[in-house]
Amino acid sequence: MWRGNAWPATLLIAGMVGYGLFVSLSMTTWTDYRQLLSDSVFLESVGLSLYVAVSSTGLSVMIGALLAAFFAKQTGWTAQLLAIPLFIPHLGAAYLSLLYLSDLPVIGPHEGNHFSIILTYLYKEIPFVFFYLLPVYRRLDHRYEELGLMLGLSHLRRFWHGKGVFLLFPVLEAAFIVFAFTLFAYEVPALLGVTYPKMIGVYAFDLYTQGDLSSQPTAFAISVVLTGMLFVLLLLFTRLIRPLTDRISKGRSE
Amino acid sequence: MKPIFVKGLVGLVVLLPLIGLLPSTSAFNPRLLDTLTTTITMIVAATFLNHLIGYGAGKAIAFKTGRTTRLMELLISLPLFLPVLLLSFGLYLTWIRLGLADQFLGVLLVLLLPTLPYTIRIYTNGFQTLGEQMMEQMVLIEPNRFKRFFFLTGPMMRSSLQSVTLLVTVIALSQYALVTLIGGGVVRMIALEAFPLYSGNSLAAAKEATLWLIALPFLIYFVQLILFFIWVQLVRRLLDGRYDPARK
Repeated sequence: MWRGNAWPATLLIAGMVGYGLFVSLSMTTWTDYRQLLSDSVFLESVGLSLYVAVSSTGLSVMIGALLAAFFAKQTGWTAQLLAIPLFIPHLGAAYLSLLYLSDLPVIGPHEGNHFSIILTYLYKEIPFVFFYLLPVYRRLDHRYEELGLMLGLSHLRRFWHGKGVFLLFPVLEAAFIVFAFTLFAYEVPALLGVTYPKMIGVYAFDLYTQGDLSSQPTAFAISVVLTGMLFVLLLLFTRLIRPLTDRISKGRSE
Repeated sequence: MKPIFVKGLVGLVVLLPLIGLLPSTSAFNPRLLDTLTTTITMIVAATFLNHLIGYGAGKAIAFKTGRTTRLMELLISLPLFLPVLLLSFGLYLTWIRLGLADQFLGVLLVLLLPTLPYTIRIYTNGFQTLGEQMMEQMVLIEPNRFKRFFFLTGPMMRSSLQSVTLLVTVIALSQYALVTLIGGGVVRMIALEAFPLYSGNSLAAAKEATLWLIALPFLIYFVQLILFFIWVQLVRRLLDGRYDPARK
């Protein structure tokens, strides 16, 4: 059996995820969900979380991909500098934000525009995206693009057939991981965010731990609704994108 | 843009924020010592479990094909895409029933949820880079799996092993909400000391806690580098023909 065994890991993870979801489901009733969906505080914090998550994901994937494209052609040790933020826990990065941005007007912590949270995430997530995509960029075969040049394809089509199809899936995967993390994280928004509206992770956690027992079903309902929504998104992602990239890489796209 | 300009900019942006962390005092808060023991024990245990479970899983995903394996891959990566903190609300109630709440073991198990998917991803990539043919070769050379790991697979998978330890350390260190919820404030990790200090007034205390928070991953990485150095030296010495009794 030198090919390994994934059963222990699968059972452990699927068991904990499934059981956590099951308990949350069994603690809630239909009225909780109906109340939740008409709760303006909840909807506002979802909107805020989406704003922060989308902007930090978009920026970090864009900058991380550009840096990966740049450093894939370079030699030397400068790329290793980017590993330093990977050594710093998110809490530490939040402290750095508090330390430097506190006295600044627009981007300081506890501002309504949440720029400080986005900047903290950028410091942490750009290196993550960078190291996620660097091997992909290094593995790209430049001959595809040369073939496109020889066949007289336009600049855009040359990029798509030479690089785009190989990059699409890894880039989307990295973006999904960063997005899901920034959407639900607790530590950074709890330290740098404002008291109202809270980001969704902070809102749910405070509801669960600080409120009285009557607000616990709401926290469970948030857990079920958001987990369900992300699960659907994940299924769509794997169902739609995976066959597409498979088909492209097997050369049956057109 | 010129390469030197981009490189300089990257270096500046990464390194400049770290200047503010240079310690100004050498005082040591005795409260932290207790926390540090728990934190380090927790990290070592979590890292060990991650290696133990993730190694086989990463190998299976890299080398096995078929529907079941693809489904397992999806199930394993679920915590990367789902809100772990929100799921732990439900787990907490179960942990209370099982007697795992407010316990070291309970926190350890929950910490596997955000770390194990990364571990398995790194191992899968590592094994894919190593290649199936290389694995087959190694199986032919050394049938005993422990010996094979010690002499061949371990040293060859060195970079994967190192990244796993680093990621587990960093992720486990910054979990404040998860550890507070499941550990109930009884299991005290360094994040639990640092977090309240940030909203308080004492900047010096906050800085000290942060220093530990940031220094620990570097320290653990450094210890690991030394261990790997010894490992590789040992393997070289044992494989060197001069010490082979069969030659005499």
